Amino acid sequence: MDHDGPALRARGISKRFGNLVVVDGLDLDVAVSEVVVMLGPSGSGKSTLLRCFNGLERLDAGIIEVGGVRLDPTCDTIHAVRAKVGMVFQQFNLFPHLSALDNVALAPRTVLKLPKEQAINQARERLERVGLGAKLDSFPAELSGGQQQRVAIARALAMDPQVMLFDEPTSALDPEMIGEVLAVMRDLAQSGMTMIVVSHEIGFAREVAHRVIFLDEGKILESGPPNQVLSAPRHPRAKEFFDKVL
Amino acid sequence: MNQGALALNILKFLAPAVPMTVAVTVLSFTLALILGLAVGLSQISGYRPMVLLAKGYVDVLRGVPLLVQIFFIYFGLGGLLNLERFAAGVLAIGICYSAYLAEIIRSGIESIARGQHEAAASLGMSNTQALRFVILPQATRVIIPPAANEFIACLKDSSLVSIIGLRELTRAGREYYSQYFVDFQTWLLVGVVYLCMTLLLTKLTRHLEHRFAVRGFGMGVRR
Ligand SMILES: Nc1ncnc2c1ncn2[C@@H]1O[C@H](COP(=O)(O)OP(=O)(O)OP(=O)(O)O)[C@@H](O)[C@H]1O
Ligand SMILES: [Mg+2]
Repeated sequence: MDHDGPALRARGISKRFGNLVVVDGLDLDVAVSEVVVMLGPSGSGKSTLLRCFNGLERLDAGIIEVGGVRLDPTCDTIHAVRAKVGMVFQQFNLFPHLSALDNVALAPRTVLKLPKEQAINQARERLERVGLGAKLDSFPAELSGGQQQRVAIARALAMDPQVMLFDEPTSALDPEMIGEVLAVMRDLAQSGMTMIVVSHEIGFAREVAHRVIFLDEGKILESGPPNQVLSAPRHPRAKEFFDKVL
Repeated sequence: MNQGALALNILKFLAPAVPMTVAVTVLSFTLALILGLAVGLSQISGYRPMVLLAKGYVDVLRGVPLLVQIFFIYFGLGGLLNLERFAAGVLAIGICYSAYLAEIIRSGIESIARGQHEAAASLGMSNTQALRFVILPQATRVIIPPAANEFIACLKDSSLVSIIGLRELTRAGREYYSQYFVDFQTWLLVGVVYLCMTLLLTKLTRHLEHRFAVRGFGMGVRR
């Protein structure tokens, strides 16, 4: 990355739906190569916050910078900035009409304008990296949930993002498939990718996260190393939540 | 004349009118597809004046009988714009059918899950790129069967332009009848010729549906 600041910086960001304040004047810095795991009760605004981070939601207040560049959904450069933030969804959202290879190669070809051959070669490498070298020509409906989610990760990585966002990447998966997806994410973290992960996989948080954040009603109530936040939360609402989840 | 010879005689009389029926159908349906796509996309553009205009277009055209629209365009506008029969007929059917196709295209696009738009956007695709590479290819699969129905209906409705004097299949049938006063056999055979064409179209659209089928997804085509 060609700037010294954090990979992602959010200052005073707010997001409302009608009268409902979902993100409430939130500040967050995520350092380059940092892995942040975010937890919080249902409806606390985790998904909305991630969607703000790649401009899928328009902010009501505040600013977000990615690699030092302002993310502004009203601006023409939004697509370029958005391409620098990879997103992995709970429901995978693969393109069902394209093979795994084409799912991964589509954005590099259309957005980055890579020549077909280069995009395909690169897509093959990405899929091999997530352990799907044998499934290049499979269509999403022919893949298991775990395989689909790994294709989705490869698809996001194909854009060479500076930050990867994960919105509950394993919660739509059968238990026996969660491990393979977490393994890919662990590798990614070890390779130095900056990651913000919404997940209730506590084991993953303890092992991989540099920082755990507890979000409630659109505010960060707790933020610190996994051991501290997960084992000795200070805020009563965080305590209550972890007592239920852990 | 025996029945076989009579049938042959009628078919020989009808045959030269078939190209006109085909031409009116194909041209007006092509026009309907282009206009329908434009109007359908306008309806979901999110740009209020365009949305209202497109909705108004669809409501008006769906609410008036096609025959009246043909009369209006040929006799009403035709005089002003100097439209000849063929152009007026194609225009009237094309515009009318574009309203139905706009609805089919709109709902086809809307049937594609929101997550698809979001996935495309999160990869940095513009709205146009998302539409072209992600949404439309999937929507096409949804759109083809109802659009094929409209194509067949359009072929049948092309008979309405006989009223403004275009010599297509139905018109030829009327001419044969008024020359030879054979009604039963004439209209039976006109019907059979239409049926042959619609059956051919049905076959064609099945083929299209197959081509746009997605592996492991409904329709059960696996390579
Ligand atoms: N497009 C929208 N329109 C209106 N309200 C919305 C919209 N998206 C989210 N909300 C509301 O915002 C709140 C936060 O939603 P969000 O999906 O961000 O929560 P979450 O923390 O991800 O919850 P979960 O753990 O259930 O996924 C919820 O009350 C939700 O109903
Ligand atoms: Mg959520």
